[in-house]
Formats: sequence, C-alpha cells, structure tokens
Amino acid sequence: MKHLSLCLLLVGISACSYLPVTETPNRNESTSGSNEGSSVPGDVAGSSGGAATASAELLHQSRASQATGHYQRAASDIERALRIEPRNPYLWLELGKIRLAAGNKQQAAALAQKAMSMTGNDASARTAAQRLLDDANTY
Amino acid sequence: MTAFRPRLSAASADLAMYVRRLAQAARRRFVRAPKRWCAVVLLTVFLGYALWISNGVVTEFEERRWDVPAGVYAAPVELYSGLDIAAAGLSEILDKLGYQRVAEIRRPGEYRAGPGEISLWTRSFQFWDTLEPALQRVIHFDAERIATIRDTSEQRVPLLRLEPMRLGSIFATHHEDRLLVEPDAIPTLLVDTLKAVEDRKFDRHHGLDFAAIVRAAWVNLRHGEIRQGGSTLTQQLVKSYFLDRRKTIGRKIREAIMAVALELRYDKQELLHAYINEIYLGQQGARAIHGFGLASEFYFAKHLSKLELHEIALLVALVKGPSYYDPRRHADRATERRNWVLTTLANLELVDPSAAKTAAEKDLGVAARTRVGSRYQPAYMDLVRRQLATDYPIDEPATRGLRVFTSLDPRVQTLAERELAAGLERLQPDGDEPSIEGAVIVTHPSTGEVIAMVGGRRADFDGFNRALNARRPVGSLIKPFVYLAALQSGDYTLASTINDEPIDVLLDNGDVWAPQNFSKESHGEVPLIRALAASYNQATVHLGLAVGVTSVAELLQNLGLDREPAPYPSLLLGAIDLSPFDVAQLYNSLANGGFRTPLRAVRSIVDTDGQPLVRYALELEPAANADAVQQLNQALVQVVERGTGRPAKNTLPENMIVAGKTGTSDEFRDSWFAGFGNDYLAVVWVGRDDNQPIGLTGSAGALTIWTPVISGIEHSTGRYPSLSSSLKPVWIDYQSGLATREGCGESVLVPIPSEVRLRRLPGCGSGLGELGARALDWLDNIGKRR
Repeated sequence: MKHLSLCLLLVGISACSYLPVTETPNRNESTSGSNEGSSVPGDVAGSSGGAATASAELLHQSRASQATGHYQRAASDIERALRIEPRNPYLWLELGKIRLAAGNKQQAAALAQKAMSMTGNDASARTAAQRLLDDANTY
Repeated sequence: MTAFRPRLSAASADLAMYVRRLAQAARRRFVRAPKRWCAVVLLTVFLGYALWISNGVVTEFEERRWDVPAGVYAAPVELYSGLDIAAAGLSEILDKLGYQRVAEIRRPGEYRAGPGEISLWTRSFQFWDTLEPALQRVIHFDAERIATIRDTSEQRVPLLRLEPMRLGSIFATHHEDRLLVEPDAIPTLLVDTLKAVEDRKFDRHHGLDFAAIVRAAWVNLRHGEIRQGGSTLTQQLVKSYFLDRRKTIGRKIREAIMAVALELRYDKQELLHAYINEIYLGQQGARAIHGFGLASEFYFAKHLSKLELHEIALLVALVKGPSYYDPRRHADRATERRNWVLTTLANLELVDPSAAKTAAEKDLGVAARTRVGSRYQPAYMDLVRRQLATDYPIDEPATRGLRVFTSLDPRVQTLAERELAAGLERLQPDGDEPSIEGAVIVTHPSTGEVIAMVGGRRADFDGFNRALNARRPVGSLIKPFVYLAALQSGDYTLASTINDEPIDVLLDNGDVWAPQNFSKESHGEVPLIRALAASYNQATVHLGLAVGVTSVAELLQNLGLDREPAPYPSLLLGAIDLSPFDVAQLYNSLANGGFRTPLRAVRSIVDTDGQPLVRYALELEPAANADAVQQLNQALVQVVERGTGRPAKNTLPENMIVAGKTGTSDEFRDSWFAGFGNDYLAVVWVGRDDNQPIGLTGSAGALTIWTPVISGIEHSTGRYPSLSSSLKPVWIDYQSGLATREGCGESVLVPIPSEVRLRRLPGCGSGLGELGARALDWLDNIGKRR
C-alpha cells in the first residue's frame, strides 16, 4: 500500500514537471504593467518605486507642455524620465506620440518600434505601440 | 586713486596729436635745416609705426576682455527616492558644486549633513528648459540609497534636479582654458604681492618704470647677459599676448610702446584684472595654464579665494618663470623663491613678520598631478568640441557667453578614471618603460549619451585622447557582428551548429589564409552560441563566409560605423582598426536592442539670456532585426557566464547579468572588452602607444578594468529585458546545441524563434517514461537501503 501511494505521488509529481517552461529567461520575475489604461506607466522591470514616481511626475509635466504645443519641452521631460527608467515602454510611447504631434513621422515610427521591443508580456503596452506605429505609417 | 590724466578715446588719438604737432614743427624747420629735417622724418616714421602697433595691442585687449566664453556643464544630478547614492556621495557632489557645509542653513548654496540625512538649499539655475528656483529640501538615506526627499512642509517630493557642475569654457579667441576671476573676487593679498614682487611702482607709472629699466640695463650690462627684467605688469601683460619670447632690443621697444598705449587707454584696475586672468603660470602637456584662477586649481586644487599666504606667495613666485620654478619638478627653487617673496612682503610691511615666517616653514602644498576627480575633463571636452564643430561653430561671435549642457556624469567619470589608473598599475607596476596605456568610454545605450570618457592613464593630462583617436585592430570584438548577420539572415539560430574546423581561404592576391584557434585546437560541430562565447576563430570564419563578408560589412555600417570596411575575409576576425569610440558606437546599437542612435555628448545650448538655441533630441533608427539582436545579446551573456569573459564572474555582484565580448588582436598588441548591463555600456582598451605587444588577452587585460567599472555603475540586478513575443526560451545543451531540459547535460536557456523545432539531446528528453524510470530507480534505492 505504501509503495503504491508513493508511486502515485511520484507519477503525480513527474506529471507536473512535464508542463512546458513558459518563463522568460529572467532570474527574478518582472511584474508587468498594472494596465490601468495607457496613462500610467506600469511597474517595469528594473525600477524602484521611487524611480517610477519620479518618471510619472515628469510624464505629467510633459503632458502639460504637450497640451500647450511646447513639444520640445515635452520631449525633454520624457528624455529625463528615460534616463531614470530606460526600460519603460510607456515612456518610449509617449516620446513617439510627441514626435508624431510635432510632425516627425519617421521618429514616431522608430520610437513605436523601440517601445514594442520593450513590451514583453504587457499586452496593453503592445497594443498601444502597434497603434502608434500604424498612426505613424498612415498619415 | 590716480591723479588727473587726460582720458582719450583712443591711444592712437594721443599719438596722432603728437604726430601732427611734429609735422607742423618739421615744416617750420624744413626751410631752416635739412639735416634736422631728416631726423624729424625718421621720427615721424617711427611714430607712425608706434601708432600702428598700439592699435594692435588695444584691439587684442578689447577682444579678450569681451570674450565671454561658452561655459560647458556636466549633466545635472537628478535625485529621487530609490537612487543608489549614499549621504557621503551626495556630500561630495555638493562640495564639488561649491556648496558650503554649515551647521545651520541660511541661504542657497549651503547644506547640512546629519546622520542618514542631508538638508540643503539649492541654488537657482537657468536650465535649457526652465529656470529652476532655489529650493529647500531634506533628503533621508537608507543605507546606500535615498529613502525620501521632502520639502519644508514635510511633503514628499518625487524629484530634485541639482544644478550642473561647470566643466570648463570654450573661448572663441584663443581656444585656451581659463577660469576667469571677476574683479571683486581678486584677493587683495594677491594684488599686493604682485605689485611688491613684480612692479612696485605700478600705481604710479605710465606703462614703463624707467628707473627699473635703467637698473636692469645696468645689471645686464655688467654681467653681459639678460639677468634682470625691468618689465612692469603692463609690459608683462603685453608680452603674454604675443608668443614671441625673444629678448631683443627691438622687441623691448615694441613692448614699451604697447605698454604705454594700454596705460593711456585703460585704468589700473582694468589692466590688473586683465593681468590676473592672462599671465602664463604653468604647463600641463598641451594645455597652457593662464591666469591665477586656473593656476589656483591646477597647483592647489582650490578656488583662488581659498588660498592661504604661502600659496599666494608661490603663485606670484611662479610669474618669473613657471617652468624654471615648477613646484612639482624643481621644489627647491620654488621654495626658495616663494620664501623670498614672503620676506619681501614682510619687509614692505604688507604682512606680519611672524605670519611670513610661519608661511615660509610650510611645505609647498602642491596637489599631486594625477589627482582624480578634477573638474578639467580634456578627453570629454574633446568630444564636446568635435560635436560642436560639426553642428555649431563655436568660433562665431554670436556664440560668446553661451552655455553648453553635456551628458557627462562626474561620478561615473571619476570611477572610470580611477579604475583605469588602478587597473593599468596592476597590469604593469610603475617603473616599466614605456608604460601600457588605456582608454574607457561609458554610454547610456537607450539615449546614446556618452557619460564618461577617459583618454589615458593620466586622465587630467591634456595629451593624446586615445578614446577618440587611437585606432587599433579590434580582433574578436568584431565577432558578434558576424553572428548577428547570421541570425538576421534567418538561416541560423543560437542552437544551429557550425564547423569549427581548419579552413583554407583563397585570398584575392593568391595567398592562402588558414586561421587558427587561440588554443590551436579545433572543436568540430559546435552550436553558434558556444562558438561565439568561446570565441572560436575557425567557426567564425566558416560562418562569416557562409553569410558573406559583404553582409557583415553592411551590417557594421548600419549599426553606426562611419566608414566602409574593406570586405576581406580577415575582417571576420577583426582585421580593422577602430577607436574605442567607434567600438562604443557599434556596441551601443546592440545594447539598445538593434536601434542605432548616434553617440553624443552635448544635450543643448542656451544663450546668454537663457533662451534655448539648440537641442539635440533623442533620435533612433532601427538598424538591425530586434529579435536577432535579442538572441545575439543572450550569446553575449554566455560570453561572461561560460566563455572568455568568465573571469568577470569572480568579482561581479551575484545576480548581476551582463553581456559582452573580449577582443585580442594579433600578437597580443591590443586588449579589449566591450560590454553592457541593463543601463550602461562600457568599452575598455588596453595597449601600448608604440604598438608593441603587451602579452595580454582581452580577458587578462581590459576585462580586469571593465568589471569594476560596470559593477560600480550598474545597480539593477538580475533582470533582463523581456523576450520578444516571436521568441521562446528553450533549454539547450551548450556543448551540442541540442534541446534538453534544465539540469540535463550542460543546459543553458536561450531564446529561439518560436517556429523552430530542435532535435533533442539523447537521454535528456522530458518524456514521462524517462521520468518514471528515474522515479522507479529512486524507489528501488530506498527499498535497498531499508
């Protein structure tokens, strides 16, 4: 009886480990974006909470400049944020948006591609990046 | 205050008046005495000449006086919660910015340091984008990082941008370096000492001190050589404008005329101010040290206003002969003359005799030449000038008074300089001539900004900038680009096998090239990832020829190489000369995920009114297939995990994942390492200026410097950008390239295009039967033990 239950246990365990590996080759898990819409940059790989808050502040400032058409200033704030969180796809997206608004389609497309390469498992970010890429390529 | 003197609008007007009067007199006398008339004609000619050179010196004075240089600034430090910096580190930054450490803060520019906390009042600064006001903040630290930043009402503040450190200036007129001292910042003691030593009658004479000239002439005649100078400060100022150092009578006369011209035109204060900022006081390689402001930093690493009596005395002592009395090379002479200056001051009752005595007993106090962390950054300034020269000519009058904002990170620069110097010292302990040299470049790959550049072992020496200008064979550093071309072609994956076997390549000139592996052994069929990580030459050549050398050459250009490499097979093994900067440009494109962004040092330029003139926006261009680059970068991680970069693992922090490549050129003449982490890229080169072999591989040489640099700046650990959705992670056996599972064979997890199916390593399947058999084995053993 003991042998049998042990066998069953082992078979059970071996069945579990038969499941394919789906993790990305990270040593630690990266938490994907909080996905509360594209207005807030998600918690991204490699950044501390403080860094995210700092870049959120700069993003906020940038949006204010965009609203009044001050694109250079808006872009400069995003670039400052990118120095703090270089792997945040939402920042790359924002920069692409600004370039598009300023009429630079080529850069908008390149930045959309760059954002795309940083999205990983974040489906919402990927969709936004695709949308920007389409916009840059259509008009 | 000087007595009343006629103030003229131009020195030439004065002289013109004399000329006119003489001409009138000449006309009168002409009739009476032709011989005297000759003399008068000669005098007129002489005065015409005097007029002409006076004009010259006044123009020069004016140009230099109004030559407000373009100021060059480092990147501003941005503080936020979670930033890796300790209180001591921030203190250092504030000190370098000239902040005063106080017990109680009363005004902007002061800070107070407590346990685990720093309070400060920042100074207002006109950035390119905004005028940042002066702010009061309190920063709390948690071990080696910032915990919170709060304002005066205890509210948390997400970000604090400090004003940037000033690096230096670019002058339109003479391209030399100065640290201009404003009139009100000139210490009175300095002025008194100068006059006492060099020109006692400065306040009274009109450019020439005739008594001094006569005395000097007498002394010189007696000794048959020029021993004493009778030059006033004004004459010395004139001398410093023009390079001619010959001591002829003709020159002396010219100088005298110019000195008089200046004295007629400008007042004593203006002349003194110009003198203090102009006089030649030392030499550092190609860099001439002019002016007391810069000399103070150069000799004492201190601001002029902070100099003590013995230090001021030394600087004034140097005026007579900066090389002859060089305190670093001729300490005895320098001390003797300095003490003579001190005695003179005491005799003239300008200082207390006891103070003079104490000062005379002090050491020279000169800072060691190779002090790192100095504000002068010749290598980086080189890059700044280069960028400005192509995009924004700095010689234009309109560029005066501009502010140039760069991306230099002073902390990273200091670290890079220190590690290079220390590393080269380890590799070749001092005393061996000629010394091995090196260069380091650090960039921020996402933005393409160059944040540090070290041109040689002696970082503050304005000599050959190896980082920008030393073009050397790169050897194996080129290999990643061969493998990238292969991955991009779609015909290869990291698991694909290639032939690491002897190969004979027929060259265009009829010769046969038969490359050897480093170990002289061939390894047969090897997976791409291993061939690159272990840097097998033969496999690389097989692969490169299959892909096509032209493809590789094209890829290099796409990724930022600024010239067309000759498409010879030897290119595949790095028979191409590149500077560390060129290498950084190429590797930056890899670190940036296949996006090319031109490496730059300048962020923006602002005019004297704070209006932005130029802004270099972040620009990217997709240059290589992003998926292919992701795969390649994983192979570069294996270079460090298992390949030629493995020694780095001994000193890298655990969980820090980095990617890179070693490079060793023919006959061990060049040792390279180029690599990156999550946020930074660093390229290190080690070699000899005379191109002689150094006997070091990339890993024995450059890697030993690269590792502490990257560990010192990379702070994020263990994370790596998420995989693209068209790639999947697969365990393969490092030796054979066959699929396996974790722990079976030499398993390594690599990204493979999703649609690719790999053959399995026998005995390492993940089948149920396999596992069941192992489980039964274990059960069997338990049974046996019982």
